[in-house]
Amino acid sequence: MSRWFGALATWLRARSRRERYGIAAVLAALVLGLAGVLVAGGSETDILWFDGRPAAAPADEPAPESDPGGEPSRETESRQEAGPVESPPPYVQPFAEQPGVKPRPSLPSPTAGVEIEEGTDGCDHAYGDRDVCVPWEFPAGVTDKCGWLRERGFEPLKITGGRDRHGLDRNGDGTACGAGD
Amino acid sequence: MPPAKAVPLFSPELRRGLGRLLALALLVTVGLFIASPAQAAVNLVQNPGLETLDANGFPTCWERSGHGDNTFTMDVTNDARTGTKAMRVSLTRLVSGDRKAMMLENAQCAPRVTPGRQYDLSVYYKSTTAANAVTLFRHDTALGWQYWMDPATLPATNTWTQKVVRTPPIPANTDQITWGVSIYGLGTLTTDDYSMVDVSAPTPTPSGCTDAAGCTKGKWQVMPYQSTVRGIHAVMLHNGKVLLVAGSGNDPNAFAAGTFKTAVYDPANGAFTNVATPADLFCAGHVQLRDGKVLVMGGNKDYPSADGTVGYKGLKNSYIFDPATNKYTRTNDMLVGHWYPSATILGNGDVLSLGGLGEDSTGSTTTDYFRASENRWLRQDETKQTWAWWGLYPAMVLMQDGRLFYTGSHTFGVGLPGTGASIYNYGTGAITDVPGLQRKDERDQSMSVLLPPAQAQRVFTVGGGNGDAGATAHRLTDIIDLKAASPRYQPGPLIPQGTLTGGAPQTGEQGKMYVSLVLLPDGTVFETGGALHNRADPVFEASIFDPQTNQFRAGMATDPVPRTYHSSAFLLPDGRVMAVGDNPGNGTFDTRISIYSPPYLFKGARPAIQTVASSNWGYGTTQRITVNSAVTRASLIRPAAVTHSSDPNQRFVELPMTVRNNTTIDLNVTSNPNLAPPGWYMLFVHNANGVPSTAKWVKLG
Repeated sequence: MSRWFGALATWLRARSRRERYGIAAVLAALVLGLAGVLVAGGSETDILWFDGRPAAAPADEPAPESDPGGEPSRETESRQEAGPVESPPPYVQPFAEQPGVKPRPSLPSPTAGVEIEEGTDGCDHAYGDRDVCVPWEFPAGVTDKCGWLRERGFEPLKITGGRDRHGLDRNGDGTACGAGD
Repeated sequence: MPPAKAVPLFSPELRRGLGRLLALALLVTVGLFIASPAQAAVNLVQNPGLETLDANGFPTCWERSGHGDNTFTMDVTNDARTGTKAMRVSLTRLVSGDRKAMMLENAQCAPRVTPGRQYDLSVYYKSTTAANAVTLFRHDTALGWQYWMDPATLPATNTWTQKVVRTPPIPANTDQITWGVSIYGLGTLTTDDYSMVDVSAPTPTPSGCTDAAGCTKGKWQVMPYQSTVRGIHAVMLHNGKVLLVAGSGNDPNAFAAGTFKTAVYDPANGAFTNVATPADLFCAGHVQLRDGKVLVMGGNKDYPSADGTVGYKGLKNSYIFDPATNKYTRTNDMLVGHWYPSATILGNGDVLSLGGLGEDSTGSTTTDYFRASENRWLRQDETKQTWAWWGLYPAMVLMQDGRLFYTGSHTFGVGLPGTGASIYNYGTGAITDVPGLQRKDERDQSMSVLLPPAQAQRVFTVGGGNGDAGATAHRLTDIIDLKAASPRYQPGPLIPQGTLTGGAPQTGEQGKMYVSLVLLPDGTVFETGGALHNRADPVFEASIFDPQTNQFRAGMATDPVPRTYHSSAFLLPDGRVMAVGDNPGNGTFDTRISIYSPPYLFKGARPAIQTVASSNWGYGTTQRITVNSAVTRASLIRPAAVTHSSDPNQRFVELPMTVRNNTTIDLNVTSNPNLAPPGWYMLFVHNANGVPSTAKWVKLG
């Protein structure tokens, strides 16, 4: 190596003062550039320091204080490990407290359940078997109820409930939407 | 004159030397680029070491925060990890609430963020209590500062310990976040050296779309076989199979014959296993217990009389179905009969059941409470009664504080008196109305879900009608944020419109009842099925709702099978959606099974969960998994137990990640069982393209 260093010195001595200044400036710029990359990580927008410390890079931060002994890896010694730990209490937030909203008045113990009006499942079970659901109320605008039912796959229906709220058995033969209705 | 001898600028030795120098410089430069934390070194926290104090001696860009009835101190201490200052918070008396040092919520101090990106939050801490949590707030450009979530719980430790947790992708409309460490138990918490680093999102791989239609709309497949039972009740079991309960299946002849059916369906091979069914569990309620067994309550004691003098009657029987043996075991009876009861699992694993019709076909106003630890329904003198009438299949969603939110979604007829939605506190018996639900008397067989993630405490109620009145189902949706001090439903987007039988497009205000909402593992909600009228006029329409934007993505592929009354759709552990049932007014029943593959299944390779260190998870713990490729999000999804557009236990629980490297991840489990009631869950991860893994089953609590 000494041979090329000697050659370098000889070569440098052969340069003019102006050339030597130029070479020095180029070398200085190179060194400064390298230092910049080292410190700032190469990003143009990175912030270099806060409070005189390098910004933390979590994966690289050692935390020897938490070393439980032995020779754990550098990565694991500083981090909370996975696995069972002491159960913390539930952390509940104070949401939906509804300030100013009064609860409903309390109710007395009932003597019976709530009366449910007939047709609660939307069906008039007076027509056909009880798995059939002739609507308790047909949709608005339906004028031809038997036609509406036929379009939806209903067969003629025996009137099993002793009444015909919808007038589907116009010929009174006991079958709703049958022949002649 | 002889030609001048050409003198080289550099001698051969010098050229060699300079060459070596150049090579060395190159190597050093490349090495520095590789070794330097170029991608992740920017700490976005202002005054992260708490070293700079303001005129009051408190760290600049920090503030004392917290709430509740407690006594505390919060000051700078010299017991620092680095530098000379750290933050010490002591709680010496605690009735409620927490205390925390938080980053100031202003333009200068609160770290700026970019929607969609993720950030690693890191803090060093010591604490004498296990009751510590990282708490996150976000600045919504429209709504201002909002609580976001508590992404991690910090165990007690007497040495400086680092906790790192990655935020979920930053929600839309968010430009800043703040965070801190809350202490919510008696003790002392010391923190230092905060950092927040923008982690480069894993580069989305090209979509790898293999099917243009599938990528945008997803695809349905109608199975080449049919269900052996009427799938009126569907429960996803933790063994990957599906419990389909028919009971008499809305067939009075089967009821008369005492023919009650249940089958266990295996989506993997299409096999059905018949299960002996001890009673008519048609119209029952159901929910998975902590151990994965299914509690079934109530059912059909009798059909209504034809003359209308007697309505449906409810059983007070209850059974536990064991997926390991495919058998029902009877428990003690409930206090009263319940036909169409609610079933909500609580944070302690117990179950509350409300509403429905009793043994005499009147409305049940008795609260029934199942104590899971004793496998029994409580006696009357052990339960707290309000005698309130809750209607049929009332959607009762467990809130993060243990109260129940009645969403207003129900089955049959009008809504309840008042605003049609309320909050119920079982412990105190208080019921308070919640305003804002649109057309509360036309929410018959609408559907409600707790939107992803459960930590956001937002409920979405979609569609509905009124079968009793013959109403045409509407397009309305409502969204409520239960984090608000005074929650109020706000109108959501209209349900996209589809077509009716024969292909006629829906018009005007036409929407749907009997709608199904399914939480997907990418954090969206699949909306499918439904009908325009009471047991008539199926609507062929499906869409995906995005809780981040509160918008529907319309035009998903539609189920070729009508899905009206007695239909359900639910998530399978492989990320697909299964749909069953259809029981139109003419009394027929469609037993075809459809399975939907969402668009994410057509967007390239799926990440895989390779190992789960433990399948038994505790609250407030971290649980390690390994994956085969970079993922952005992990979640627990509670398996379905659905009927009549009602599954109030369905939820997607965010699992904030502590990313150790691209393949090893610790998942932070909430400390709050009300956010994720105990039981078996489907664990999913998904990548930056929203492509989910298949699920691993884990048992929580």
